Amino acid sequence: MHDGNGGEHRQITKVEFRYPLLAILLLAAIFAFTSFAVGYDQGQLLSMVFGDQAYKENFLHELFHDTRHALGFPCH
Amino acid sequence: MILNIVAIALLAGITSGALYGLMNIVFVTPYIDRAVEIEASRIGSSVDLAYRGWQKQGAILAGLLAGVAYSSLFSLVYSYITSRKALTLGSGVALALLIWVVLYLMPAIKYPANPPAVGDPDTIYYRQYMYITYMLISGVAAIALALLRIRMGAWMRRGMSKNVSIVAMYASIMVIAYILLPPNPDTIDMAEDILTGFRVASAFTSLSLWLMIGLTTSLLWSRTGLIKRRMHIP
Repeated sequence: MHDGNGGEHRQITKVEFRYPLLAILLLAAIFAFTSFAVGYDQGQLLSMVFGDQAYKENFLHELFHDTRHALGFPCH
Repeated sequence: MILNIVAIALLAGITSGALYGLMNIVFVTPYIDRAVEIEASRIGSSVDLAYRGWQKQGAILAGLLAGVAYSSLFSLVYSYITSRKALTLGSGVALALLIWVVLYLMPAIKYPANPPAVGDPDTIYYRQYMYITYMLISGVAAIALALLRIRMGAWMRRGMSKNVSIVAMYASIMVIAYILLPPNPDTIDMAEDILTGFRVASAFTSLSLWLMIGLTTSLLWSRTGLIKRRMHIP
């Protein structure tokens, strides 16, 4: 770009992006909840609603059974 | 902006996760079916088909959830890096490959994925604990070394030796963890072809999931205008 005096100077353009902290918290919360449900739950989540029955049925564990194996998580 | 970042993570997770669920049905489920048949014949009963049907139905939903989980994690890392330095499509996908190595391949070397009928239900918590520990060692080491690598930029001049030393440090940490952590306590009693086929299929679909997340997230960040970067002229 010409500065009007015959010389040239480079214009430095900085692309800025400010990271919103709340987005980190939201993403971390979504990650924690979904990964626990799909990867590790042995009845804990539904026991909040159904009590001990949830541990016996192990609903989520069975529902996510095949994928849990496919993801490489320990299973029986 | 906050909602846009979360929306990208969810969109990338849902699309990649749905495809991942389908891929599991095609590539992984046949091995699981054979393993379940072997399990049933061992205890002298037949496979409960209604029950298996029910377990299979969960594959798409579980794929979606796994997609959203991994996509949220990917978005965390991706957005942190890109807030400092804009990432190209290629480096976004390479980042996904790197995370797959750290979070799938590394734990799989120590504790490989197993089809049903291999794991002992009595050791499930112990095995989960070991698996998470190993995964955490790998993940935390990778994050710490990545941050160290950023700092090193100011210390040293030659880029190549920096990368080599970072990879060497990561490898040494993983070798030590491999030696120190106890092995899987279960005896593995399964036909070799099912075991190998299952592990290859598992590695393949999980790699595909990470690459799809890397690709869709990068595209959504750079091509849709959902994320606006302010041009800042000093």
